[in-house]
Amino acid sequence: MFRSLNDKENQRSLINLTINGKLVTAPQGQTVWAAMALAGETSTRLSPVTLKARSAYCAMGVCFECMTEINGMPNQQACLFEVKEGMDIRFQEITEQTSLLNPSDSVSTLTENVGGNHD
Amino acid sequence: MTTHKSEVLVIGGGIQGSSTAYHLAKRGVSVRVLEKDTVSRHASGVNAGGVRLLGRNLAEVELSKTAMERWQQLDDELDADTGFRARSLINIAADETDMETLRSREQQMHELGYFHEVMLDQHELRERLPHVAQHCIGGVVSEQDGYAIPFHSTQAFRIAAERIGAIFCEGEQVQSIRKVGDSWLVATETQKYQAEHLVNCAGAWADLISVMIGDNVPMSYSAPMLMITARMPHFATPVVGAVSRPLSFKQFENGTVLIGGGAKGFADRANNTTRLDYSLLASGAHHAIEFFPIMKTACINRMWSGLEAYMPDNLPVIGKSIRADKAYHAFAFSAHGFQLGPVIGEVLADLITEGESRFDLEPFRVNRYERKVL
Repeated sequence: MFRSLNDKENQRSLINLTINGKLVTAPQGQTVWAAMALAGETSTRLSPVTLKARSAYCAMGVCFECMTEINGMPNQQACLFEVKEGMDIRFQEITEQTSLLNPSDSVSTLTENVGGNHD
Repeated sequence: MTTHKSEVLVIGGGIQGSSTAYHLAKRGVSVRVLEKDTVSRHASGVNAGGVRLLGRNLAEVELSKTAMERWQQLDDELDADTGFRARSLINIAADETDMETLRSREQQMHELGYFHEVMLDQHELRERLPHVAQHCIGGVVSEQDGYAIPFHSTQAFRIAAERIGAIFCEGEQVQSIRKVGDSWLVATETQKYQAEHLVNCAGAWADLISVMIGDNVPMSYSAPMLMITARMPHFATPVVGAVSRPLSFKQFENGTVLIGGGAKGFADRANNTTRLDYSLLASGAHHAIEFFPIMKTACINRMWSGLEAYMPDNLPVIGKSIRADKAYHAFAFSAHGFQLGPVIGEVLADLITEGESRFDLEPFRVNRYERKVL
């Protein structure tokens, strides 16, 4: 299990966000990846090639393994984004089989609410 | 130094040169292709891969139709995987002016006996493209159209041609061309070649070859740009274009979306390179979002451009040299030559072995811009 080494983090003001539908609080300035790890939601995406779960490898913006869906926008590097109030973070699941061709397919968070909070 | 002899010498190892070599070799003609870099290094390898009959200039329709029939079974013919997929191609009408443009085109095509372009109303458009923006009111579709993987397609012609005896010489840049008696003598830095017939398929460098043969031509060259996204959920099966907007994209089977549209970067022909114009790429991306709101979620993975040749009328040069005997041109396809590849090889093979083509090549004459009266 991940835990924060920085005790002072808890003194900072807390941000409310959801990770895979779970309501979570995280200290201001924390990265999305750290918030996910501390919340026990360590998988960021499904690899479209191996169909296995992926997570941060380098956690410093280089490897692109931790891509996840933030506020409806896929392929965001969780390790490079800071948490923001109201942020909606989701495990990214886009494979070669993912289809939105059937009109009854839910567009979910895609196309709605895009461009919400990230800069 | 030995002189390499063949019946035909083709300059340029793009899809036109490779297809020409294939068609000639199939007829038992000895043919050699000189490529200054590597086969399909430039426009033939890095274009958008559109296999489009829809909206062709009337001068090109017959050629394009024949090419389209060939594409449908090209993998079998070449025993290769060109990546061709018949997905249909739809040009979207964004307003009533676009619909009017489509209606007059339809009438013109019907009068000429062409029925492969079928108009779509708003409901039919939405059925085929469920994610199209609300303001799009109709369009036109060509069912046989689709896409292929350009590098694989060009290599498929090359490998099929080599299998039946054609020879490809890479890294051989032509330095001089001379006609001595009935023979063309072509020199590169280290080699000499001799042939009875000479074919110019040199793409963005074809005007230089054309002048060496004896035909002046007002060709220009440019660097059309493309970008490709990370995988997206499947939302568009047909290839998509727009009637009056610079929009063109296709979603591949792996979910990635290739966005074109004709925006041009900066071509540096002398150095074999191009530079991208990022502001134009950004506006191309906005056009895609305007027509398909789901493209807001697209992440661009890579951007590139290639060196392509253009004529002032955006029609290619195809046919015999005017000034020289037994020399032929096929170049300046103006960013829509990839689809024609399978038929151009046949046209050139016909010109060389039969002396004529069954297609009307008059609009593609190399000297069509020469002033008759000074």
